[in-house]
Amino acid sequence: MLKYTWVLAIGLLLGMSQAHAHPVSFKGGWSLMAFNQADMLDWQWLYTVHPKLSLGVEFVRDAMAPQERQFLIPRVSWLVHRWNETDSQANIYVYGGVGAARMGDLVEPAVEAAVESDYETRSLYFSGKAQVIAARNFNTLAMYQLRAGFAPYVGESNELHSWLVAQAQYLPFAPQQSVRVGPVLRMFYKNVLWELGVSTQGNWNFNFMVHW
Amino acid sequence: MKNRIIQLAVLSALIGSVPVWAGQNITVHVKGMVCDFCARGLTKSFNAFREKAVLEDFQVDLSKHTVHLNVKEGASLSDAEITTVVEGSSLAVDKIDR
Repeated sequence: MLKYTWVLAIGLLLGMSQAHAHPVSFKGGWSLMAFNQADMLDWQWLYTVHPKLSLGVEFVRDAMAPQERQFLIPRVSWLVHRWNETDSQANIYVYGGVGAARMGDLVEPAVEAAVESDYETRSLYFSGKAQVIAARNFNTLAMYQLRAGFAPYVGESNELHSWLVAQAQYLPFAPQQSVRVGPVLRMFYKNVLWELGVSTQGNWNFNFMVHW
Repeated sequence: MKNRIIQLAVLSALIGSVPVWAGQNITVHVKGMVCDFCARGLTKSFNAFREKAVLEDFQVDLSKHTVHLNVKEGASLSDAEITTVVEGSSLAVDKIDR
């Protein structure tokens, strides 16, 4: 319990957390995103070539299984639709690519497919994501995630924005703790966003994102 | 008294005929601009207009969902250019007040 308190305290010191991990940002915009857990990380470097399309590369490390796996996938992300309203925004994204998977000395082609959706106002946030990475001789890596969050205060431009988010993840092929539920503290300031969370099972996660 | 009125009338006419040199103010009402992170694309693009000496300054107002543009004297920024910037961030122009 003490270590969770410590982790949350660091989060509070850092400021607070994120909300808007959009795989397509703005035309000509670069995005660097890093989603980290103790047994899994997902790093993405993306360039938005069109308001609805980004190109980039994704690196995934899966240490959940007894033998670690790594995936390197050139990726295309597509903003299928955005609903822009005066007080809200909603999005549907799909993304995927073909790359390589590595486990020990074994290297073979891998395919990724994912769909992501979110709805947000200035004080509420909901999102869902389903992501699958498959390779012929590897167990399929899949992750499903739901999030709901709120902003305890509404920040203005160039101020620190803070969100409290409840997160649930389902990792069907994780040998342990395939369901992970817990709070995430998300903060962003200008073009930098970071999140710190911990699940009830004790898994921590730290996410970082920057757009420029 | 009559002379004073005439003097004031002439003065008013002179003031009224002086061209306004201050830059034009434009208010862009943006749909979908619900967070500072979403407005980064607008900030980057309008900063580029400032570097090109088109804009004197600009301010993003998240609570009113607006961007205020102060166009430099002698420069101009069309509705089409503003719309291109906003749509480049996958946001939408609600209306533009000049």
